[in-house]
Amino acid sequence: MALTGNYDYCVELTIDVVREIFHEAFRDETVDGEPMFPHNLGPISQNFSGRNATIYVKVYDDESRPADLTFADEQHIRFSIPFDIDVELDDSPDPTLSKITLRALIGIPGLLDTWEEPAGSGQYYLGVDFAGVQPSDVEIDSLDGVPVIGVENYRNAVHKRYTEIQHIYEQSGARLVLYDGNRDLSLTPPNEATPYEIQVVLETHGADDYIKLTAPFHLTVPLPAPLSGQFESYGRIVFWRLVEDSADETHVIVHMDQEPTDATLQTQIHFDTTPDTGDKLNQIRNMIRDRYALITHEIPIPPGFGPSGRFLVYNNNDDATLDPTLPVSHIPYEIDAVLETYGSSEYVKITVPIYADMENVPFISVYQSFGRVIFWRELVDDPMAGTITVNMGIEPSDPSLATQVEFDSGLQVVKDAIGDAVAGQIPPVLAAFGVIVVPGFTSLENQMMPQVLNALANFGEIVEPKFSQNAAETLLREQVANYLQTRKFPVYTPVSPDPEQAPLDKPVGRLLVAPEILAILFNQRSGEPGSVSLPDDFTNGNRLAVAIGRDRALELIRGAIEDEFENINTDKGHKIPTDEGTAWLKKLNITPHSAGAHGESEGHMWVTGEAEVEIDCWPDPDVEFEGPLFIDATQVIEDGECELEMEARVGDFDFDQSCCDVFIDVIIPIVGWIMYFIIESTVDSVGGAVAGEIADNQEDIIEPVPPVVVGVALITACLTDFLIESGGFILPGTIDVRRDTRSYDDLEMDRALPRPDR
Amino acid sequence: MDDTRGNKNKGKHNNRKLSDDKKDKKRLVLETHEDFAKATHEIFQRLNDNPDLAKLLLVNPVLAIEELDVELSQELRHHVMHALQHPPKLRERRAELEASLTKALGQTPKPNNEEWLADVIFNQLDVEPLNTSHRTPVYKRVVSDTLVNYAQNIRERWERSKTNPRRSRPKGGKIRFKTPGDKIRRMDLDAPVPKNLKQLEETPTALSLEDLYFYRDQNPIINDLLELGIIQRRAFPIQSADGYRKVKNGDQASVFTTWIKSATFKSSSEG
Repeated sequence: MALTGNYDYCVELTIDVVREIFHEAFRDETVDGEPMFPHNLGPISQNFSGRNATIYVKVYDDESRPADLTFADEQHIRFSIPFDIDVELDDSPDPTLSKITLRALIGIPGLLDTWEEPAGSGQYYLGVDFAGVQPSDVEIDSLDGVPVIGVENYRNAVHKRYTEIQHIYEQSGARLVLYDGNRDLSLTPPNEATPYEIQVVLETHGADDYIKLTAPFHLTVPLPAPLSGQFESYGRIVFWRLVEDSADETHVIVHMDQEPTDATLQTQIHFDTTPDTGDKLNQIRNMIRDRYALITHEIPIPPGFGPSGRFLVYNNNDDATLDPTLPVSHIPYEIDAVLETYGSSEYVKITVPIYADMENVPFISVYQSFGRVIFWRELVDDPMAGTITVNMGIEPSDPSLATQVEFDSGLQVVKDAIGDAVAGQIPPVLAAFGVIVVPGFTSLENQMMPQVLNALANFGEIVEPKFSQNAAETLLREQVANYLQTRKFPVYTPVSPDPEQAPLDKPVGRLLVAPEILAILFNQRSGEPGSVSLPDDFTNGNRLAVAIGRDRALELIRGAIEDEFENINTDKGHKIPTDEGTAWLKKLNITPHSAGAHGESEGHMWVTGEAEVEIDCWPDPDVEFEGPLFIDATQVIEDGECELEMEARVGDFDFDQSCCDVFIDVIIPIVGWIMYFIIESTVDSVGGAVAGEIADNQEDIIEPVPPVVVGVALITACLTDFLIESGGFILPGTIDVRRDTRSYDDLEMDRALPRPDR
Repeated sequence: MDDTRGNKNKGKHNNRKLSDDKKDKKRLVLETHEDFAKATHEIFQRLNDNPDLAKLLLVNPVLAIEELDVELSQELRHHVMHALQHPPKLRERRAELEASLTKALGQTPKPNNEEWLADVIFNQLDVEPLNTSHRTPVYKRVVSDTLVNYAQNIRERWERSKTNPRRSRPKGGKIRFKTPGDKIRRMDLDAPVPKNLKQLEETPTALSLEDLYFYRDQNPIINDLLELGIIQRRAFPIQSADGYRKVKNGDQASVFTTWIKSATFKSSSEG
């Protein structure tokens, strides 16, 4: 490494100076002439898996959330910038989720680069260019605010959606009223259901998440014929709905109109009261008794090989034409029915009173007796219709359930004979009872289900923004890259006082990572065009240091010597006449050296030369001389203004001897001039400014580095020393950065805030 | 790159070599200027053969020449000493002033003796004492015209930069190059003397040449005294015998043993 690398001049700024300039650049940024701080961007429309969203980007750099930077490598500064990204989903039903704020601290590399603006102007900006930043370049150092969707969010969403849909559903005389607490006080009947409002819980079934809802309702439904009136009851609908993630993991969707496929998660309807339609046995019994009127009550048994006559079928003497009448004490007195279960089937066991009036009876000729027919018929449920069907014409296949005929009097052999004679006539009689269909609400739930599902479908889709960590980071990366891609922040903007006469070389920036130094190089001296070898860190604890490389310094020194001593390096030499005598300077070389060289403890300029000295009455001796020159630099602060006072000191001189005056008077101005050349050249080359007043009071007004970062900050720099090293010369200094524009604070301090009267 | 200084002990002489040389050389005894002129070639040949002594010639030429086994008469010693001190024009002016002032004052002028000078100015010439405190004489500057012109050009560039809207004349700090300290030899006797200096109530007992500068328009003698004092101060300082030995032995720093690497004399001379 060399002091200034392979360039002639180098300005070095410590990272804290770069930070200060960046803060000012960031805070002073304008876009299209409008101030950008604080940086609020948006609204930006974006579509997430078909959902419209509005995005607002806020970028911070204040005391509570400061931006920062570090040097990542030779050409990249890693910025750490706080971002807030607000995402508003247009149709987010949960008010608490209609806007989510992702608070992030992102890391992003910015390229240290130089650009000319406008092209051809010679005005160069050295700074950070974010062009080409891709989402993949964005590192997320921290991220807060990724929403965790909990049951409360779904509950809020359901309650909100309830207010947006209809609450009364009427179909085929049924009236379903959905409640949700007191959110609709116009409903009748008023909400006395349990639960009072829709309850929402989260459940996991298998690998899927579901919301389980319990929704209160009131149902009014006409009783089925032959019943009259209506059934009404409060109740609750229990149903589950699958929670689905969107493909891009930005939100969740609940389709309220889609029943789960899992049979155990089918919608359930529960009534607070049971429909008062009597029990089915009574209904069956009553309907059979009702059918008694339809059948034949007196059935003749024609003469044949056995007994003949007639038998009568009774029911509570409903048929008054029958003779004899049925005794009240007869069992049964009216057709009876009981339910019995055999195997997996339910049967109605029916007992019908009969009377047999027979002749041609064995042993006794004439036979008369009351009795009964006992038979079983299967109950067949129709779950969809909610009915029970009893087909009176179908005898069960089970032999133990075969129709039986009993008589109350007579010998058993006689009864058996009579029974056999009657049994042959029984089936058509029983078949005449027909098919009994018992209406009922045994599956009112099933009947109401379509209407209920239709009501639930009105809840539609419930969508909540639910950014996964991955989705949130993806969104952040996109927005940050989008925000930064068009941005450039200048850090150093050298301006030539006279671009035509003194055009500036394009500055080249490099970062010294470990010592955290920004090095700005000017005027390439060696190597392939554009190649950069890094300079030394010569800041030595100073915030600013400017250096000129050895080769350029030697050029300037040689130029200064040749300008001042026109005939040097000739046989005769350059005449230096003084009152004390005349000398002819033939050679003069001045080179910079670090402390330690030539046994000197300070950095110095080593002077070698040859001169011929005229001495009266003596032969003129040729004198070879060599020795050190030091530069004593002292910073003086007066009235807040800094001044660097420099004085050349000839080393190894005994100043008590006035013999040296002439030599000093010859050598010191040339050294002063060399210093002047060096400083003027350095400052001019790095974009600073020197205004010469040397002719009058030997002072220069100097700005060692550009006094502004164009459009960003004002720079005040003071030189504090002049150091000599073998590699060249170093001008350390102080630097102060102020904002270029007047801030609110500035105006307040100046008592110049706008007032109503001005 | 020669970063090792080899001449730190240049004041230390090789006395053994000098003694050996003496054995080989014939002793020269010079009485007159003619003797000296004839021996000049030999003398400077001997100096060139002894480069350390050649450098000491400017410390004390008489003692350096005598170390070359050359014996000088008193007259030649005086001549050699004064020829080195001043160039001819200055030497003549000094003699002229010393003569005229001796005549005018009735005593040998000693302008670099502050007590003597105060006594002459205030008592003999009866000049009123002036308050010259915080006053500095005007000195001729040593900055070259080239440098001044160069600086002027730079300034012009910044004047032109007023047309560059992006840049105005710098307002930053200052940088100042201090020129060599003000020396009596650069006192400007053509500059006007400040007027209306207040008088001192008490007569000083000592007066420096810097103070005398402010009295020079009051009496022509004062101007001559000042000029003589300046010429005397500009004389090439010749070390005493003790000083010569100290420089030669390296006990006392001297530019002729530190800065002067060599002094080589041509073989012919006027004399």
